[in-house]
Amino acid sequence: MTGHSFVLVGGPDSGKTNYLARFWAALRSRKSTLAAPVAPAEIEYVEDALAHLLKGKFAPRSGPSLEQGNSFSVPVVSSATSNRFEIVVPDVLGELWTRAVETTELPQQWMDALEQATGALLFIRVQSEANVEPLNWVTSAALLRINQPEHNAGTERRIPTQVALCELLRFLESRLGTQAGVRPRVAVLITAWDLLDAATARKGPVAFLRSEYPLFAGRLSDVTRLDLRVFGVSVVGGDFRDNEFAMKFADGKLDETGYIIVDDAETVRQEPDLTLPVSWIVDGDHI
Amino acid sequence: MSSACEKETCTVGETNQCLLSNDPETCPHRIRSEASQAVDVAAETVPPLEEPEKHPRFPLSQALSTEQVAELMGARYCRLIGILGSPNAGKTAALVSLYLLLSRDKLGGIHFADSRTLMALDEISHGARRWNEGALPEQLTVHTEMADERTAGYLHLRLSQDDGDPIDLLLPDLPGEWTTALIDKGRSDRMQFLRGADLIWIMVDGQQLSGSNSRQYTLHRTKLLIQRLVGLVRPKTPLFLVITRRDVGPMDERSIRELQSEAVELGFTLVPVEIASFSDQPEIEPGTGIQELMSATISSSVVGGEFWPDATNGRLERAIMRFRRREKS
Repeated sequence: MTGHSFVLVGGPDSGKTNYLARFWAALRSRKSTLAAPVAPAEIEYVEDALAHLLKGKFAPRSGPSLEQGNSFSVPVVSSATSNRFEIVVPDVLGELWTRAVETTELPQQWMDALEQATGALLFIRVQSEANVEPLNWVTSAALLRINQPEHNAGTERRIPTQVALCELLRFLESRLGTQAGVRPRVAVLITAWDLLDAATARKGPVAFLRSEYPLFAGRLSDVTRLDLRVFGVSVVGGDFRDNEFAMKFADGKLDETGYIIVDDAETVRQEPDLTLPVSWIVDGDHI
Repeated sequence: MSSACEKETCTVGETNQCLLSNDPETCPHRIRSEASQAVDVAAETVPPLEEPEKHPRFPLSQALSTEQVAELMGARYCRLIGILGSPNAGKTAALVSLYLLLSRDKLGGIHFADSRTLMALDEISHGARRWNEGALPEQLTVHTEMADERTAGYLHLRLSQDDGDPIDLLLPDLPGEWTTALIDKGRSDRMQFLRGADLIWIMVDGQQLSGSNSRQYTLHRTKLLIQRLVGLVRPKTPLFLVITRRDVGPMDERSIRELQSEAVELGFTLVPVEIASFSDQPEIEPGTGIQELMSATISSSVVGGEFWPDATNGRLERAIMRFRRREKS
């Protein structure tokens, strides 16, 4: 059995915990590319997160206990290749990555996890309130015209989301898998894909990044040390704030909800298998 | 006076008798010995703050130091652009406008691909990093460790093109006072990096260049700056006259021609480009002219020393040179 660990990277409210919960459910469904025939002993964290989804709510922010070294570890088998893997996912609070972007510092235990990981999932959530738009000329001109530095001393600079993503990718490029002995893979997951309008969604995840986060999209095209793919993700296929959807979800089956958008060079397609991004990281290009 | 009492005539130190008949132990005028006044330093001192926990760090993405630039240029060719201009000529505004255009992918066929100094660019665009006018940097930073300070260093941009290979640009981020000192004091020691510049942007405030009260002075100062470049930059280094504040009016053709004549006399070419980094006029888009400036910068031919220069120097006494001279004649 090959060991694989990958890190979940992204700011607060980027969809890390909800994806992990839905990934866990997909592993147990026996309908996905990756399956977990045996449940590991320690599943409290993913079960807690999954409980929210099953009750028709998205999981709240991860608690501080996860920062103290909790991780989710599960043996899986790939139906595509019959390969067996041990997957270890240390969950990291979004705030930790926010601090890393602001200070370039990461606690030793997470730096170790990053260096030993064979891959990473980098999260961006559509329409997250935590997303920060880039400056425009009006705002920037106003800031530049204030001549006294103390005028700006009290105003907190909010780092635009695409700049933060570029920084996170730079961190991954510099340290991911340096002790793992394999070429690291990074799956960029655009979560809450179901919130996009049909026309935007049709163009696919790469086009979405080019339009909304051009700095990050440009950066993705220039990375050489990592293998990269971009996916759209909807963990349950809709928004629980929509009553009609919530009712439909409550009467349906979790296994039949949610999807992954796969963006090939030629086509954009929707797949029901929520394990596909992880499957690509651990098991290659069969997707 | 006893050394044990403030009163001049008291001898309590020697006789243990107080002049004022007070108890020698409690008399308020007694001067206590050092031993009796000794303070328990350990007990009184607040224990030092615990050193914050140190975490491993990723490399900074702040302005690059000279040694970082050398390392980067060792790995890939980077085009170095010298950016000169007086304070308020619009250097920072142009860099910010360029960054904002890239942030929104509004630079035509030119797109962002990477920057080793992304956080520095973003901080400058937020006005969060200003030159500390009380303590302007004296030299280009050799080694960068601090993230908070705006140091004189290089900004890096890697740009992809729809119709060409990616290109790396290094844009020195320097206070305008360095240009002023170059003009007024001939201070070129910290501008030696210009010798390696592929081209120079001479930034001039368009409002000053066209204003009736400021035109002559601006022309004069710009000519002086061009003159200072002789010997400081490589011969034939392309010069771009970047005229800012396009939003306040079009460039003054007479002034341009005058500056171009000056440049030609000194062996340079001077290409004018008008930009409006920001705009107060609705008919002029902010960022106007930046795309043209970048296209011209990227397509400008790379200047280098002649690969195999003609030997027309004063070393003709060497036998091989004499042979060549005969051959030519």
